[in-house]
Amino acid sequence: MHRKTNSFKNIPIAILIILVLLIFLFPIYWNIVTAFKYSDEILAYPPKLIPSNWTFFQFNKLLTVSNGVFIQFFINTVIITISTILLVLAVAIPSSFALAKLPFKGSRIVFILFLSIFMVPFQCLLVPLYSLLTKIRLYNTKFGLILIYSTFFMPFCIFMLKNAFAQLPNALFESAILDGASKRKIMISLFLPLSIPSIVSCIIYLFIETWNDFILAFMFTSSNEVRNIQVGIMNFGKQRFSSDWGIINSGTLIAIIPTIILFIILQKYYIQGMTSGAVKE
Amino acid sequence: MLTDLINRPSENKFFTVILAIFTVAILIGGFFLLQQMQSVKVVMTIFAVVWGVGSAALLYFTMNSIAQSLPRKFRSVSVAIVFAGPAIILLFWALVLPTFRTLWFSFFDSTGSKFVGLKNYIFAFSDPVMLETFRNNLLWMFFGTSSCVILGLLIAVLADKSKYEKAFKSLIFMPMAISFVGAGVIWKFVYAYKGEGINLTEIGLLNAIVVGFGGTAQPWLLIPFWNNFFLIFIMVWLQTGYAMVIISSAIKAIPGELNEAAKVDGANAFTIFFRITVPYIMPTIITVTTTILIFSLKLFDVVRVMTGGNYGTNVIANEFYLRQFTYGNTGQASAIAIVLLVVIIPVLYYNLKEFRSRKVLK
Repeated sequence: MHRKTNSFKNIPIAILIILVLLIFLFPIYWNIVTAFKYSDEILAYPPKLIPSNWTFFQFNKLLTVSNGVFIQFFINTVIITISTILLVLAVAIPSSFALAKLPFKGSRIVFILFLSIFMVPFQCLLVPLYSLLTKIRLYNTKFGLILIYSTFFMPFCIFMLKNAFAQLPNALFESAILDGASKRKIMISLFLPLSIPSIVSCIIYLFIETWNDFILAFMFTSSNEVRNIQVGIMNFGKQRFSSDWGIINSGTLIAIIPTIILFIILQKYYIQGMTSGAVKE
Repeated sequence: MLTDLINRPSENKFFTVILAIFTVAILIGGFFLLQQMQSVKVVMTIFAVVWGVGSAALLYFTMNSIAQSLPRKFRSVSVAIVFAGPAIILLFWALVLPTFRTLWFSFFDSTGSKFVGLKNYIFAFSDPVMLETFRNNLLWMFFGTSSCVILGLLIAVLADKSKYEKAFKSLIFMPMAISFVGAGVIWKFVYAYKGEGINLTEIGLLNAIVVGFGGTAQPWLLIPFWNNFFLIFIMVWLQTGYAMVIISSAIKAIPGELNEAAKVDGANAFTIFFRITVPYIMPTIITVTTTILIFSLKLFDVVRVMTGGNYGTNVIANEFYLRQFTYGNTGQASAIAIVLLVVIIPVLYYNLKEFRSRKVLK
């Protein structure tokens, strides 16, 4: 193990760390305090580092503007995100299981295909997908958006889950087969409980990607009943509120809070999932 | 009775056939019902979720039954297809097929009706607008990637020496959870510029600092050429955490004896860093670099949200967006998308080779 520097004995390093933290965190801090200021204080010069009156005024304005359209955006995002997570897991878990433990002719090629596909620039897919969705009448529906997200984010989940399943010993699988368990049963009651950490990393990955998506939601939706929170904020920024920093900042704060909380609580799993493919053992 | 059927489906061919018909009916019926239900949003959503997850499960179950009832010879292959099939079909339908359609479109005119040969590609490589995006993407790739990786490496080493490593790392990592739109709003507020005029005060954080130190306020996002770097900084802010976390876990894997031996031999911190740490984690650094390289090549959201590609900050992906959705020129947009794909292929190939050498691919 490395020896750790005792608290602040090493002053240059301490100063460096504080400086780096300041640069990384101050923009977020600024967003938070702006959301809790009154409008005149947002525009005040010199800028107030701490609001003299903390207020929910901006949030009130945000939630009541245009008949509470922001609440609609928020609910849409929740529905779309949860559905995407469920759908991807339902499809990706059996596929990863097959790729890891039921090798068939060409299973390696299929896995390589999955791997390369999640690096293909999405621009290559947008135009045909747009016409496809319009044709099957799923353009501007939550369901269409869920389908698109599921296919875009599935390859990485298959990658993570396949590695997790492959690490479980083959002997475990074979002895269960000898005991007469069906493959479906082995997958659900033996392999799934042993791969909970990887499934949690998948859920976090899917949550963050879906919740934060702007471009796909922007292209495949056209009405407020379907739009997600990111598109909503962009529209707020562009339309009549272009100079109303209070409302935009409070909306942004609401949009980033769920992912940040998820990150703080479950960071361990997310990092585990990301490093599983990247660090040489 | 029912569990009996479920457990031994191979002995109930009749049951299997009924189940198959039932599954197909649910799938198709649900799909058409969903199309008709456009108006009742809440009901439709609940139905869609139940239908989607339910029929996925049902589909597996049915296919599994069919596979089990096949002769033993085909069974192993068919069971694998049952498990992996839905994912393969979904990916083929939504990812592989569209890529080829885009390639096809790139040889046609704006509406996709007249064959124009390589004209769109000549545009993609010679138009001044495109050349500007190439220059900017090179800036993003070079400065963006190297800043993320170097900063990530330095912070990882710094954190490793600190007592508060965990807290420090998770704070640096935090921007990664923030969406591009969120980051855009936050940084727009940092770079905001009001200009000169009566009663105008600078509300932008950066300008407030600059004015506070006696400088003049700048329209940061309008300064030719340098505005690219202000945008790149946003990506560095978002992505350094990623580089740092992965490099940090590689540093943890360096055997302690290696460092101890070097210290005994009288090596100082710098020598250890350049002679032991960096060479040891080089493969990880390369992986992180290629990942961020691809990221900066495909970069779109930051530019879209901050400047829309104006003032000389355009990038390839944004020009694609403009060609397709503003000018409605599918041919040119498709050609740009294919160029992007072709540029990414070498990096992709390298990554796959790396994966194979690490036995991630069995």
